[in-house]
Amino acid sequence: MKYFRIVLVLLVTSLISAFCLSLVSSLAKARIENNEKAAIERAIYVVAPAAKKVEEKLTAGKTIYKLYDGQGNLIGYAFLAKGYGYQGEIKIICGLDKNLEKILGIEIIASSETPGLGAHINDNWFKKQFRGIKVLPRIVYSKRKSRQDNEIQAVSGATISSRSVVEILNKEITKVRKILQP
Amino acid sequence: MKEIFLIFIGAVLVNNFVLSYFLGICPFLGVSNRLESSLGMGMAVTFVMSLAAAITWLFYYLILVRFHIEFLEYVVFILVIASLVQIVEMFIKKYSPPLYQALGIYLPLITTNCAILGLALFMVLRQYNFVQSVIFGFATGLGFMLVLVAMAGIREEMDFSDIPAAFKGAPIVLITAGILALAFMGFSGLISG
Amino acid sequence: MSKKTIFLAGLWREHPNLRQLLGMCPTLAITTSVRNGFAMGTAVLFVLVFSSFMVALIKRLIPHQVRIAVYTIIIATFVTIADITLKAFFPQISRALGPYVPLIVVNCIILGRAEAFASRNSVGNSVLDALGMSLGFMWGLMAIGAVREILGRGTIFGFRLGIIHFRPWIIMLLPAGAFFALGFVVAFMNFLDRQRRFKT
Repeated sequence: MKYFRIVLVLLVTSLISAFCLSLVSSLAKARIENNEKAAIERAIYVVAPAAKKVEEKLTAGKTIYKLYDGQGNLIGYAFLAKGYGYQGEIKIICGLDKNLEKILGIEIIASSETPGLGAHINDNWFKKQFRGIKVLPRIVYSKRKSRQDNEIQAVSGATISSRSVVEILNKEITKVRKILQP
Repeated sequence: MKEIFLIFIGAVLVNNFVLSYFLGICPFLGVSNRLESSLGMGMAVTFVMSLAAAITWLFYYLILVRFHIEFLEYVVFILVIASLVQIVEMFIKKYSPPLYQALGIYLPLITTNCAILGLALFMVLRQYNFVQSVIFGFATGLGFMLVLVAMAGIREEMDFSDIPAAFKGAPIVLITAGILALAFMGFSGLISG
Repeated sequence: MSKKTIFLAGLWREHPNLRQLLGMCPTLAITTSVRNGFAMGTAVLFVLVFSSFMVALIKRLIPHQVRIAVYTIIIATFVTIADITLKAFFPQISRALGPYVPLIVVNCIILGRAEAFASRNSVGNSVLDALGMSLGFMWGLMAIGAVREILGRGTIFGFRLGIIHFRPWIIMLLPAGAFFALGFVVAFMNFLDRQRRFKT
């Protein structure tokens, strides 16, 4: 009898817990997905202010956003690139021009790099560097001022974070180029 | 192969659970005053962590994900971990009394050890596969043991020092841990690229 | 024990993180700013108050042998609710606190209060105790957060302090700084204790 009571209490507690959680989870699910979408959308408009219309397309398993200006001309593409930095995951929205040769801009939507050091990748000066950067053959970084048109300057004292951003971008850009220009 | 090596070095040195993520501080403060108990606790933790990594991985991917009930992650993980520790303790008690004498008392402490739950959570966040998870668990345990033993060595020496009254006990251990953390920061260049 | 005593215990005399040294993980991990401390404190308050409430409510129905398991399920449930709520309505805070929100499940304070207090006291007193403990925990977090934010960033709650010629000690925002900050604050509390003891 005692065992029955023990099992019953455990079972009831677990069931009530599972029920409450499934309720809360389903209520919040839509909201959480919207938050993600909103963050990405905001970032796209930061990356390509000239874009007036954004069209989302799922191609070969990758979500690519086509960007159009006010007159309906294609100005480029945007997509999410993510990977690991020095400390945690970095998520970047990257915009490419319509020829897939230059970057329109980048915006970092998630990162947890070291405050005061790697966290500087979120600074405007660092992100602005990427505007107009050539992506071929690949983006490179250097510790001094950049001299080539595919080179950016790393954050001093945060080479790993800077390098991670560059690597994440290179990897994703290669992938996107393959999808859009087979 | 390289990935596994990186995970291993990462967990033991670069992103040590105690010194970088502050997981396992309670036992760290409590048990690190003697070298032997630190070794015992370290081994118990390493063993349980490896096992816990494997079992929570199975529970997560074979049950929670399969049935789309990921929101039960925290409830299921903590119950699995608590049960696992309980079972391990009974097992050791029955089949190896000398081992139980050495390690047994630390096992109940391990359940509320943030490190095990932290391990399971990170494993899911980083989407490690089964093998990577077990290696991660094992390496994390080793890292924990490393820091625990280092701290025990230091504390046994400190017993002979004249520590200001307000700092006796936890404060001086915390400050020492801070210095250890500083030292471990030097490892961060190890896994670059 | 008067209601006032119960409530005030957690705020100083039996302070959860600065005296009992429980809940160290979040105290060290997220206290890089006062705001984070406040956010985590609020999450813990929600979980502690509701868990203590539930445990005190159903304490007579739970067989002794499974009480820890049942308390754990209750706590984990409220932690999941807190985590989902943060992710949905305060995504920035959720990202700042990261995996330390689910780690509230193993925060010794909550299970500790459930076992030591809520399981043997009335619902009203248990809620008071929970409130006292969580507010104590919160100010503890904010105190450490203040030390680390002022020294490490030169701001408090986001506002620049404008102390000229002060270059922030970034180390305070790193793990090592967390240990130092906590070590010195606890030492300070010990110091205050000894002063009080020697005066009386």
